[in-house]
Amino acid sequence: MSEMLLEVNHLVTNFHTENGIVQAVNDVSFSIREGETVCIVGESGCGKSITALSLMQLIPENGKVESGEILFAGNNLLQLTKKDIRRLRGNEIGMIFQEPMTSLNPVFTIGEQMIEPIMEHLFLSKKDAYKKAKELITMLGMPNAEKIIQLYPHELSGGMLQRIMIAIALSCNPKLIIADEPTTALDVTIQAQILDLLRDIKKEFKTSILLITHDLGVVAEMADYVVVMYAGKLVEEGPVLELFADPKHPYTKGLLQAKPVIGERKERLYTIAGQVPNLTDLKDGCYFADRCEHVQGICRKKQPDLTDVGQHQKTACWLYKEGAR
Amino acid sequence: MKQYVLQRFLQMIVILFGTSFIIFFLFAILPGDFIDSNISLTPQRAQELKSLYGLDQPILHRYLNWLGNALHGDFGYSLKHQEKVLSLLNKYVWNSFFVAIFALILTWSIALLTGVLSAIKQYSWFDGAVTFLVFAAMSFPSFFISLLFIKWFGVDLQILPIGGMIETGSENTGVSYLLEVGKHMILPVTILTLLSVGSLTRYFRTGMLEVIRLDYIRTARAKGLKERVVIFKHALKNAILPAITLLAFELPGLFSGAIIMEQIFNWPGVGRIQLESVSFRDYPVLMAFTMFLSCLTIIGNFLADVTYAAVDPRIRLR
Repeated sequence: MSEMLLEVNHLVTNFHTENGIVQAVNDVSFSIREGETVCIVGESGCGKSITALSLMQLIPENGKVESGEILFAGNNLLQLTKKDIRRLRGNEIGMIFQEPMTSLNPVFTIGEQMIEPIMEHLFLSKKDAYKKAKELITMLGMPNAEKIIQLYPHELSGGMLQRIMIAIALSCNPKLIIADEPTTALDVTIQAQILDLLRDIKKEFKTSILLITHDLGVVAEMADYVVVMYAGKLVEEGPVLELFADPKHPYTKGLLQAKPVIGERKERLYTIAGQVPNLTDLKDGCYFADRCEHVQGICRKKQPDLTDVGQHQKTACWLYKEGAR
Repeated sequence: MKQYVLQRFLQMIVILFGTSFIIFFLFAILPGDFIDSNISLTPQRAQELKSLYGLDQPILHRYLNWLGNALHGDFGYSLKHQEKVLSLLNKYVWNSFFVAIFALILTWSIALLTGVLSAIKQYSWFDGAVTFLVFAAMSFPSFFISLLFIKWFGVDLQILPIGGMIETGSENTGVSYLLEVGKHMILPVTILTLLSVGSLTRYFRTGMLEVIRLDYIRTARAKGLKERVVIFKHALKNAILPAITLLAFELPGLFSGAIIMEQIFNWPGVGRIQLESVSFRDYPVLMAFTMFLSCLTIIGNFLADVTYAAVDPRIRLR
């Protein structure tokens, strides 16, 4: 077993809005080993991105990490000073965002934006930083690096920009890359290329990846370990093969059923009825109770904890609690 | 780019002809002229003078006459001041210009700084105080705040002169002359700055607030850049781009003089010459000065387009 790189314990992130407190991340724990890819899966608005941004402490101003700890290589990130966090960002943790088209500054060239973290964290001269930027571009399979660094973001396609974002995230040899829905805004062929790229990076540099997605196809392709989130809570986790072969939580089952299978024609794709609940007024019981096919009395009264089911799998559902009913 | 500049240049010439025509006709169809306002003249003498100045000819004829001379660089004599128009304007326009340029520099520096700071500290006490002060400064009428300042600094404290550009009978030259003028300039510049700094501060604040919520600012932070770099490099450059247009519109304002301020502080600026030329129907001065401002306005617009294209890579001029 390789070393533990990141451990998130009981993370709680709230947003203070006019309509009350939104519990975006509610007691979430998971961990990532060196060289491992962990996927966080869930519908839109269930706290995946905020979990990722909480790690980097980049959550919007009205949000706050209330409690928990984030251990990165042994240090609790929540206790670091602003300066130390800044030294970590882009250096030991690289981040890739959902919208490559808006994630780069429109008034600076690709080169100018690429050399910034290199000069800031690796203390290279401007000339060496440009050289490194060109190497990175070439490494990520883009021809004509010399020209690309002189272009502005609007002159490149979404797929190219996402490669540039990956290049920026990689530039300081980070131990962890957080990719927040890196392929959602791209078309399918480009998606596959970007995923291949991330896989190669993982193989070559032994970088750990935290991948956030709602696309189970991406999970199946990329993940070693899967964390399923629902309404800010962790509902199921386990190694990818076990989880896909034998999902336990009704939500995970629903997600897997809702996934189209190639070569199979269906009249209608399965959907999970209902919507993610409003995070400002959550009820006492299991948050999924209203949409669950197996709902029972206790589900509406008390929240289930995460318990072991199977060898490495854990789920938070009353169906698997002995003696409950 | 070359083609664009050429095209704009030709457009500018056409626009200037149009402007001169409209201005000339608008003033010419107003009843009365420079001679009519002088009631001490006999009708006969008035008629003589009118034909001497060419005021008895048809409007189109007069316009073409003016245009022909103007194209040769001759803008005529001021009827009231009995002096060449160009030398008259040259004498006064710089007095206005120096006050305006200092006020402009002050206004933009203060607005930029306070606007950005109050945006990054939105809803803090600093933001609240800035908002309060700029609205207060904006809502005072300029004559009132000018008189108030004259009373405080000129009369009560007696640390600043109450008006004029130099002391009466002063014969200073060189550095001491500059210091003397500078001292007289403090109040006018302050007043002009106070009046215009408010809207610009709000403008920068809004621009900045929009930009710092965007994805690429988050990216800049995720790269581990210093907050200073994130705000003053990545955010500011995007936030001030639209302000370039505003800055270019200030160009004619630099030379047009500030009529109210010049009246109150007895500043020998061009604003007063302009006002006089309207009330005395001093056409040569009026035409020359208005054409000068039109030129500056058009050039300012042109400069705005060109600089905008130079600093924003997304804009290409065709």
